[in-house]
Amino acid sequence: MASFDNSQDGFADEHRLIVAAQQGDRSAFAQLVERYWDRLYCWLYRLTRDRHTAEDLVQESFLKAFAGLKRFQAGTNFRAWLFRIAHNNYANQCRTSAHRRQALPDDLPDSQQGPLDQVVSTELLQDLGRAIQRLPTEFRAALLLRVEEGLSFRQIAEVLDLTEETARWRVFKARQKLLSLLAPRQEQERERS
Amino acid sequence: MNCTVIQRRLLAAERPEQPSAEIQNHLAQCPSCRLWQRRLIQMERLIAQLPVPPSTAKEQFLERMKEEGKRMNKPILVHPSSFLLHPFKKERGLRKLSVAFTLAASLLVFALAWWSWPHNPVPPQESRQYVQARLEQRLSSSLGVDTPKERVVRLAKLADEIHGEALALVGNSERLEQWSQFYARVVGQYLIEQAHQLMPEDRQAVLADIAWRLEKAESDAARLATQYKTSSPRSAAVFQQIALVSQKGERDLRRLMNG
Repeated sequence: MASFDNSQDGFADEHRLIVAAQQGDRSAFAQLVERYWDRLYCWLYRLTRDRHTAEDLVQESFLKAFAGLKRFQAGTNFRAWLFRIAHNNYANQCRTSAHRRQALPDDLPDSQQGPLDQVVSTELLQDLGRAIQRLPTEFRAALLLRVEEGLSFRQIAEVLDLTEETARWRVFKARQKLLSLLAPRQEQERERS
Repeated sequence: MNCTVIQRRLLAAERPEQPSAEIQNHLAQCPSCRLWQRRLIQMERLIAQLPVPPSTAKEQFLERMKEEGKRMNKPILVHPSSFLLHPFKKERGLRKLSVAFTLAASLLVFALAWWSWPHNPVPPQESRQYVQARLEQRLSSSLGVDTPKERVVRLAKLADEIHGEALALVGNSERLEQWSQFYARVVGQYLIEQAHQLMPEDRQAVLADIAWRLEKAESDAARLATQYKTSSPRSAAVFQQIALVSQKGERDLRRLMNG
């Protein structure tokens, strides 16, 4: 996954790219695509569980973002704006297709082995994947924005068009449900280690 | 503060790994909450590590954007005739006329086709997933309000609607089962959860009416279960299920009202 520069310089750089893209500079917009593609794709993949659907939604979101870029107020939160476009696309897609309730594929793609993976069993990861799929979509979307994107509750609210309190409540419920679903496995892991 | 309160605060925290001083003090003295916090943090770290298949569309998308950009930036070739003042005025007029004629002919063909086509086609049966997505959307909009009180009111309304719609689905057992399962989630899970979040002083005022409505829903569903026992046993079984869910919901709410 692409790393993201959250520093002051990173924001200044992004601001410059946005302003240039607003003036029609396609290479500047291409850099924004480079910056956000993987993040957006990852989130949408976890919502849809379908690579092609996720990719289609990412493309559509960027096209809409490009088309509506002039309306974006430079200096405000571009990431939240982009994710909000993506979420609207996803909601529209749910209304018209049957991808939403797909079962989790059994053959999960391999993850890169990190230090944590070495001590955590595949079973726990698979359980977690399944448990996330069992979450209601609105909880899942909020939790993933918090955990993977590191968005604050206020930013999650902005993306999902909620109040901050509702965003917090959705993350709360998602965490609570996941923990209850995973508790037996985590206990086993703890005893094993 | 007791362990339940601490754990709820951690669940609601933006960063459970950086709790407030008050929570840290508790964690320092409570091994079970420390373990619980570790599990929460571990779970969140693992989520970020769940595998995602690589996306291959980015390069193509960027390439297409680049090409499109090139095409748009290409200088438009100016035809020398455009420098002349109205040299082909008559020719342009004839072209306009032919375009108008073609347009009129197309409209006529379209109108004839429209007239001969059956005007009230039977809508295709909606797929289970599509219907489920619509139900989820309704649930989502009921949950997407600010306070537990509003959520309880909206969920109760949704439960009423789902119950009412289910009664009309006799004979369509598959759809009826889908409605019943959804009703069980709305009442048995979300409504009760939200009712627990109500302020104690609000409970009586908000829940009394809802409990009464659930009681009525139970008696309606039980009556239908008896009515369809022989003619449509599958529907009857589903109505029985709805009656049980309503009954349990009503009892849980009354227990909550009585403290």
